[in-house]
Amino acid sequence: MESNKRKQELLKEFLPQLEKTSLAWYAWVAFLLGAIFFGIYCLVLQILKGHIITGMRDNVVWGVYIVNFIFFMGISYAGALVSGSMHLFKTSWRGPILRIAELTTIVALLIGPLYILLCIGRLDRLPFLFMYPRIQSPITWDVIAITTDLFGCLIYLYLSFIRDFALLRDSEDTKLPKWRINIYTWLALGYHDTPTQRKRIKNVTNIMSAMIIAIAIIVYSVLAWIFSVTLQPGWHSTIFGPYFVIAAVFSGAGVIIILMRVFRSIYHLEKYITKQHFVGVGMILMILSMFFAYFTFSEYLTKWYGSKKLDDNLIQILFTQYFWQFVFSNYVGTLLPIIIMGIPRFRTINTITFAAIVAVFALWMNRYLIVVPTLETPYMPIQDTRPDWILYKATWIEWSLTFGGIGTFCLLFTLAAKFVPIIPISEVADAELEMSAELAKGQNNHEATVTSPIKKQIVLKKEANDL
Amino acid sequence: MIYKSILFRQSLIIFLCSIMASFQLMAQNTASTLELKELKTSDDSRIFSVKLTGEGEAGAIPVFQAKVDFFTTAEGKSELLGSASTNRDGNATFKAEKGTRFLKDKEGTSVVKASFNGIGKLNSAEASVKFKELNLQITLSEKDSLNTIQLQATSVGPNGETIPLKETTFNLYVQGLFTKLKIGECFVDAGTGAFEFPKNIPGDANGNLKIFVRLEENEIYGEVEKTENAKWGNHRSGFVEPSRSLWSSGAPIWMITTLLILLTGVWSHYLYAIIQLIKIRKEGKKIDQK
Repeated sequence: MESNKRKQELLKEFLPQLEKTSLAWYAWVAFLLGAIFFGIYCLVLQILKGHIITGMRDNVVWGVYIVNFIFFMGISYAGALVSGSMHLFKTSWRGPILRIAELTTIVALLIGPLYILLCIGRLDRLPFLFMYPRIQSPITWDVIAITTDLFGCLIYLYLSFIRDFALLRDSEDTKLPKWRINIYTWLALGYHDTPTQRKRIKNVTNIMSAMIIAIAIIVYSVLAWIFSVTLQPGWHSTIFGPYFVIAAVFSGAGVIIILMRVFRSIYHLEKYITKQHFVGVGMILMILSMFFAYFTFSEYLTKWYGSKKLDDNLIQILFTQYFWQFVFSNYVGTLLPIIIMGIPRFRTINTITFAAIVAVFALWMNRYLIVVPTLETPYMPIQDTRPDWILYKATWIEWSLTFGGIGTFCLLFTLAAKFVPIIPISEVADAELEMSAELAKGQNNHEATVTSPIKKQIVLKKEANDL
Repeated sequence: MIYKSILFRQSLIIFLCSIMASFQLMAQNTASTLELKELKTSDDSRIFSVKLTGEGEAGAIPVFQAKVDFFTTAEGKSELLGSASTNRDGNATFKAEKGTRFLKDKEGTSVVKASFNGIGKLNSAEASVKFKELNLQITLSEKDSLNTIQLQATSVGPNGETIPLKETTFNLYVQGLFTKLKIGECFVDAGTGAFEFPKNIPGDANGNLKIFVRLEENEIYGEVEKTENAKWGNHRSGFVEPSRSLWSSGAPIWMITTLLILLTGVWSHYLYAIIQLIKIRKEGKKIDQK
């Protein structure tokens, strides 16, 4: 009963966000739609004129499209890993940021694979990938893995939404239109928060949170293997799987911090998304940046020490032609989160957000440096060595489609935040109750230790039973 | 005034010199090089191959679509045999069929000259080869599980008489997938020689081999070749593609098994989640009905 009361209170607080739409919101959506439609126009141009209007050529066959694909997939897996881990390990402060992480997972997962389609010169041959799959091909592994991941993440996201859908369905004070209530009713699946239903949801969510952690690791490793199973210099590496996973979670944690900051400001969630949440995710960011730095150093040290001709060429190019990008992505991007989070006086919401923004840009650049310079130093010489065939430079078409993708990400997030509360009401209410119960239990334990040995024995027995 | 006059004169001289140098450069021709090779083939025809290049700044550049004439010459006489055009690599070949008459000197030596007349600023070029007639016969024999190649080589004397070849070495090859594989040498004296064919040479799927006997870069006879087919290869079974490998149509069993285990594990959990959702819906329906 206490839980229901708290949920209703929270719902009352968050309903205006779903009901009212400001002029600024419409302007923002119009701006995003503009970016998306311009991207679609560029896509039509690309289909009609071919890849000649991009910077991709015979030598550098992958450009910013594949970089965006890896980047968005990384964000998606990070969202899955962060939300799954927090749920599974019952992190006490998880409530307010869970939904942001879950939405990040799905939205990025819907956008990422679209960039693969942009890389394909002959889209009419795409069905062959499904009609005649080769199990030996990493591309087939990736198709299977992404489909499996998308399905799993959708189930997980839906499970986390059901209880809030039921709340929205049952809300009496709402001014939401009837069609939206009908949608909430349909999506709520007849959930009435009975003990059996609650137990089922809890069990399945626990299982799925464990599943999506495992799947995210496998899927991002598969993506890394697309590169590392080739013999290309800079790609053929045994640590590419874990390196990609760490890089993904690193960039994803950065995106989650940025989104937390954005929604905190727009929806005035200062009461729910506190400095503690920023410090918590910031700590994750710092630890991941350390891991990322370690993997990067290990990767380049072994290549440099091995002194294979093509690896040497690649490192030479990275430290000359791409010097500043390399410094930014691998030094600034990793050191800044460590400095800001490592020194307590630097830990403010704004500095943590700044570190996150830098980390996200640095990780995008890191993917660019993995893809492009390698393709510019191929094993086999090509028949024509004119610079515009060897060197890659993204065209305005590619940048427009990149911004179109970012626009789609922002639009889907904006629409999702308008459809469901950005804070998971049921999760937050339950977490608050759990915490109160824990505190009460702690007090009882404390009393038990100070009063009598018999009481102490009873408390220990109770804890053992609970365990 | 004097200085101005000297300056004007010097400038004029420099200007005129520059113009003359330019004209000289414009008129300067480019040297060309012609290389000629000759080969008497198994069907007794002769193939004359040329490579024509021009001297470019970056080295020799092949000359494309240039006409090269082939002449037979001896004792001041010259007769046109035929012509050929160079390809993109600057190569051209001319085949003189069996029975083509080559002019000969008193010792029976023939000279064939290839001539390029020049195009535009590209200079003309010439090259020649000389050779005497050599008749080469090969016989393949199988005795006591030994495979032997018998060589008989004779030349033609000034009066048309047959002269057995003396102390000459022939090279033996078999045809590989891309190039010829040298398998040994055969010394010919008094017009005959023999070579024991090795038993470890693989042939095609049926054990067939193409054998080449060649006299190479000989100062008197030029290049002479004779070929013969033999079923002397020991590798009669063709390459058997593994049924399941990384590159075959069927994937390795371990790969399929791993994928199936992973997918079954993951999708069974999804199925469980969906079943639970259906149960929630059923329970919800019952509550709604009540």
